[in-house]
Amino acid sequence: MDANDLETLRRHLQQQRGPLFWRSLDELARTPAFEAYLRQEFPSGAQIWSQPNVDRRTLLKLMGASLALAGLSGCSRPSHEPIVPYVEMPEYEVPGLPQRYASTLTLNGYGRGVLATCYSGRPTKLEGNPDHPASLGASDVFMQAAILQLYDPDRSASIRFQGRPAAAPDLQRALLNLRTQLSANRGQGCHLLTGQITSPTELALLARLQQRYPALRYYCHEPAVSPYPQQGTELALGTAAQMIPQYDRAEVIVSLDADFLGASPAQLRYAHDFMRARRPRDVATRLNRLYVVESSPSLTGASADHRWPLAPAQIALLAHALAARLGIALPAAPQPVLPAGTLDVLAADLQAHAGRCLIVAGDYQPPAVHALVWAMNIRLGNLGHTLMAIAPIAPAAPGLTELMQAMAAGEVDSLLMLGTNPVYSAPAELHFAALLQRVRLRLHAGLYADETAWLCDWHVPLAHELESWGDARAFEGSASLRQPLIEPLYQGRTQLELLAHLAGEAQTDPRELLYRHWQGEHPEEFERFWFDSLQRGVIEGSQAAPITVELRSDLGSRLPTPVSADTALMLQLRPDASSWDGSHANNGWLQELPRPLTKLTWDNAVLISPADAERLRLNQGDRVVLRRGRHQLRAPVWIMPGQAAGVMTLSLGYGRTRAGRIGNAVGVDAYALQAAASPWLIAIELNKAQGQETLATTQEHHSMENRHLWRGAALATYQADAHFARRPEDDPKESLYPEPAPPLPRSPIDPTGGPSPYAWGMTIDLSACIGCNACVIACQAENNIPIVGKQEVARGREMHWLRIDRYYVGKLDDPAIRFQPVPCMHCENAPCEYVCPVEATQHSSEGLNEMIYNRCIGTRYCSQNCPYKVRRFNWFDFTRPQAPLSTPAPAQNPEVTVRARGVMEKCTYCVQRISAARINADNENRLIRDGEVMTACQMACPTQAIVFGDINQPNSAVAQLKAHPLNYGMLSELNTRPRTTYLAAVHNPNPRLQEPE
Amino acid sequence: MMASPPKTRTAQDSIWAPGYDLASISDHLSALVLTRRSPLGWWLWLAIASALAMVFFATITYLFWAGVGIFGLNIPVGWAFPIVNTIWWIGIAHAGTLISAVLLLTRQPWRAPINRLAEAMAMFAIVQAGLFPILHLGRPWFFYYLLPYPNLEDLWPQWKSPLVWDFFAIATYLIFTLSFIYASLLPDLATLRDRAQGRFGQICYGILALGWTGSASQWYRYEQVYQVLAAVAAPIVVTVTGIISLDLSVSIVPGYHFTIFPPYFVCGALFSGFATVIILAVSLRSLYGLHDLITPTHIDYLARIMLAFGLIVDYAYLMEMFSAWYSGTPYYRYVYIDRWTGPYAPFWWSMIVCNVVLLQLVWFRRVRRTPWAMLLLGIVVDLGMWLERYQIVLTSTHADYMPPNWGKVWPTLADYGVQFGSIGFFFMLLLLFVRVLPMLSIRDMRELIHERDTEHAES
Repeated sequence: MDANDLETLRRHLQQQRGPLFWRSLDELARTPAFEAYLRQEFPSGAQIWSQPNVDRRTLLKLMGASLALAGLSGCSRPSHEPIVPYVEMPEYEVPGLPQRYASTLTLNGYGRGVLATCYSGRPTKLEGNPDHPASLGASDVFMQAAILQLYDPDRSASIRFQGRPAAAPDLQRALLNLRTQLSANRGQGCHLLTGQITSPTELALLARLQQRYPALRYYCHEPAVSPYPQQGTELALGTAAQMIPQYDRAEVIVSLDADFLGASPAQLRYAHDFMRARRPRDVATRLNRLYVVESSPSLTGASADHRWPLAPAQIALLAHALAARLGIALPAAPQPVLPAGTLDVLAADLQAHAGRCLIVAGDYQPPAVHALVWAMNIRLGNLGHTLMAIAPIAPAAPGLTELMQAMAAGEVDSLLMLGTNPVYSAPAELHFAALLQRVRLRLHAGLYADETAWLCDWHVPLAHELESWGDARAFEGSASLRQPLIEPLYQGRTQLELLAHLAGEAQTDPRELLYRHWQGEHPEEFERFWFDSLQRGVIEGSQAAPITVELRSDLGSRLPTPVSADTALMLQLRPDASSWDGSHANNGWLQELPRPLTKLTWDNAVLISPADAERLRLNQGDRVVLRRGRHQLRAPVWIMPGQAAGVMTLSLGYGRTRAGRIGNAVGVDAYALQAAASPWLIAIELNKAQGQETLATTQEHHSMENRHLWRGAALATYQADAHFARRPEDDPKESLYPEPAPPLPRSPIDPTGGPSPYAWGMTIDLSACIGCNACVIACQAENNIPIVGKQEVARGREMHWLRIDRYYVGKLDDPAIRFQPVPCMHCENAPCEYVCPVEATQHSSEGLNEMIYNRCIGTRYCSQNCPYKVRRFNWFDFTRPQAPLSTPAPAQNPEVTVRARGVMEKCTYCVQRISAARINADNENRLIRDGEVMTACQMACPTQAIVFGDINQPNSAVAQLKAHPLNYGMLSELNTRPRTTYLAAVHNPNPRLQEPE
Repeated sequence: MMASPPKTRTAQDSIWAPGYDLASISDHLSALVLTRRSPLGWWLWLAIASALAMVFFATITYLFWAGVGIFGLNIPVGWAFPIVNTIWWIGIAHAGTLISAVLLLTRQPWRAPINRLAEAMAMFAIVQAGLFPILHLGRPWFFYYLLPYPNLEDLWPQWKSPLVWDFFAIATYLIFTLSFIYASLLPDLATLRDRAQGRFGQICYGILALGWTGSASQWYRYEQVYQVLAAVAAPIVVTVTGIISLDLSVSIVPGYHFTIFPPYFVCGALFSGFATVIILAVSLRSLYGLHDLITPTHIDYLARIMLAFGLIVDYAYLMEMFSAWYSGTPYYRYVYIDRWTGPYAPFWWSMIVCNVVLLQLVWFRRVRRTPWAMLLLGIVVDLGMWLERYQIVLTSTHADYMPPNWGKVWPTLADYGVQFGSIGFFFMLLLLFVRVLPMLSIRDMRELIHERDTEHAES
């Protein structure tokens, strides 16, 4: 009977007596498809009933077994490793005390070392691993947010076959079948796609896999990785190499759209190195100098001493002109549009610092620019001094384009996609989803049942990096191990395990695979090496060795002649500061983190220059339609001061449909416009559309209104007057009333509970702050700060305890950009305290301004009276488990109260960390040492801009900085006596160029 | 300010209740409560007011359920509608106390017919004013933390905080007004008891009348109590709003921190209070046909006082701007630039139109003696004073010290719900009040007539 045979169905219904409940026409028709569906829905064990002769004994046996085993259904899968109950407490495990383990997280496949804080086997907070060269103890936003991703309830929780949950044995059977087939035809027709892999163990396994199935084809797809640097290097050097700049050694840096301070696998190291050579608080005489040309403002541009917004074609011209100026033989090309004389000054400054300067190009710049950058650096003698060349860390592999060709040619019989989501992140013009349908066997493994998973036969949940064994190499080659901090929450498998299964290895346990791989690398004293490496989190001496490279002599003739200007309106596509390539889209902390420059949350928008907006009559938030050929996209615009005219920027990673509850339908999907041939820059046609979008931004006003909140000056000013940042009105005013007592003289511990010997204080170095947001999200992770969602942010109700104020200084088209992190000032003379009617906010004996949540009744008077407006209010019950965006309970820090509705909250200087240190110190009958307490923001900061400590101790770092001439208190004319003070910024503009400010 | 009232007994708009004697005035006023059917207008207005009151309670239920986030509030604007309304309602209440107490002490005979209305208005306005601070709390169920009640932790409220002073000020004012209105009602309750036809009325009024017999000794004590209460009222009028204004001026926020606030707020309170008395007098006069008792002369006097306080308020506006300029700090100056040109500028300019420009119409005698014109002006002044509180409370923090924090906030449906809901609740209480109790004080009117007749006999 067919479902479409309605006549028969009617007759069938009429024959029934009594009401008949039916679910679908298929059911009524009893089609074979429906019968199969019924069988599929119930476990295969149920098939026993369809066997012809079930006797009484079998029936009773089964019923008995069902009854006996019913109780077991609540248990999870037993661990592969022996479980030892706490008959004897494990060594070092003290309930309530955290333990820290080193592990490795990846971004674009490159490792960054982390130290995870675990409470009773539950990771709650990540910090950078100080021993790891790519983190140096600092962390970026993705590292901090990984905790939330780990506990994300939207993560894929089960193996799926054709969209329905399936059992593990079924998957094993399918893999076995695949393996049999692969063994039979040497891998013919089987294609494997992964993200970028740097893991030595995985690469070795991959090699074995390819050895075993020589016809298997492997591809790598990492949406945020640009092939241009490699292509440019090949062009310039004729060999594969990777440039590792040494920012701490460079005195003059020219960045051609290189956002080395922005999010990248090397961000933490680069920011650290860059700021080491730029610390007016340590060395007053020598600062490096940074020139930046870029099309769209970046964190690097914001830290620059000189910044010029240039359209992409102009940047290429500038590279060409600068190279020619530096004596590289090149064909003549048009000059870039820069203020007169700039190029001469730039070239002169570089030549004056030959061997101590550095020119870097952005990853998304065309290969020719990279080639020229190599040439200029080599010409200036920088190679070996301020930069070195290493062999590429991630091996080259064919990409999506090649895979698509194979798919289009019908060569792909089975496609295995591990840890990648090409249905979402492939350029839409490639029609990946449509081609995928032609593949017979489609298997996807991922953290989420994402867009790709839903178009695959098989979906396998991957274990989170914090749940798995593994390893990875950092951008500069250092290998580090990854150890699980928790049993996989959703029985996820690791990529390593799946590859081993596929390769038909006897050993598929990821830990064993890892162990054996490294045992092969270090046969001598392996146990010791293994434990050392696990403990330190990084493998000693594994960084890549520099290789010698030489410039091609005929480079000039190989380079394409740069065109004078872009003819059309151009659109740049870039990874997003929060969502990255889309893989972090379902992370609420990241979504609500204000993007560093736009301060936008929960959205991406087309960044457009004020000049273009004026020309096209666009206002903030206006909807536009971007069109490239047949592809079009509706998106809101955001007018971005400092954006070069003629070019717009849109970030990737939004507009997802199967990201999860947080990430679905947030922003617009820029992949819809991406061109496979030129993924980062496309010519676009823009039309104004109807309507406006509400964009949730955390900062609406961008000028300082001539108030002296952020302070800074050029190096010359600083050298002339070290105290330039102090203003006469800063001094405390005469008062008729008693002033708060000055910090007490240091006294030994008083067991009777006398006055406290500590006075906590903080300084924030505005020279060092790059505005990267790591502190903001670290504070959120440490202090259980809830997220509130786009609507609430748009209403001005974001909850971040620490915010980064961003100021524009100067011209609309090319302003200087300044950052100022603002936590609670912990005023000694706090305006919030005396107005609280119930004394819910008070001063501690150590100078902290504290909130007593259970006393707070929510009058909000404290916030009204806070001149810094650093207090945050729980307008609704954001933290109850039923709240739509509440943080899962296991991700929360057990040391910090989770605040309920209707109470005020704010920065506590991480009082829980102070208390922990105090307990330790008291146990050891000593005072807390300097540096023993580090606040979450301080720990995350890649440039050590934030220093915290006891200002009672004259030798403490913070006390010394408070005595520094650059130190000033914001709004101290109000006599608030802030404990958080700032070190004024010092810039190093070239005196030969006009001052930017 | 208070001109000696003309004692022409024949003029159409005399304040001396021509055409009434002691008996007929009692008959007339008690009949309004006891025997006359409520006019249709009363039912209509009660229906509207009750519907709005229901909106009020529904919004409050939702507020307690969901949280204070349903209002248009954020950081930096942590105070908006609820605080604006607290100040506004307290201000309205003030005129009631002033009329019933201060005019009594200064022996102004024209207060007699509007006295009761003003007291009832004060009473119900304070009820509204007292509700809002609780609605505004993040955790309203802990409002009692403001009380110095004995507890295990030995916690007391913080006496340095003006919000604690507020709590006591409003509570004191509520208790005082309740006592005062009850004292004033006592002889009238006895009258109603004596004249009530039904058993139920007799019992109810009888219980409330506390055994009043009208003996000379009772009258003697009564007058003593009444005078003392009236004497207490004067400082309360000055202090309650003064204390509420300290909520703002004690803080360090530019736009709040002005030393002129206490007197400025008291005058503002009386300004809006007299406007509300005018609204009530004109509307109830027309609803109940009391044209012979509440005359244009009464309206005229009320309008003159309103004008006087309005002019002081206008002067305060000027001084506020002067202080902002004279302070020399960019923050205070910016508050004014922002009020004039910022996103909330329409509110400021509307306030100026209401409280400064249109107020000048009150200089004209014709206007003062035209009840409908004064009704409109009363509404305008109330609106203007609401806007004044709104822009003081809201615009001061919306753009204070740190520009990156500046933010805007707009009212939500819930804000409108409590705003109009509380007005509805106020009128509902008032309409029920005039239904069961005399809206004009029988005792005061009798005294007035007695005074008139004695003077007549003397002359």
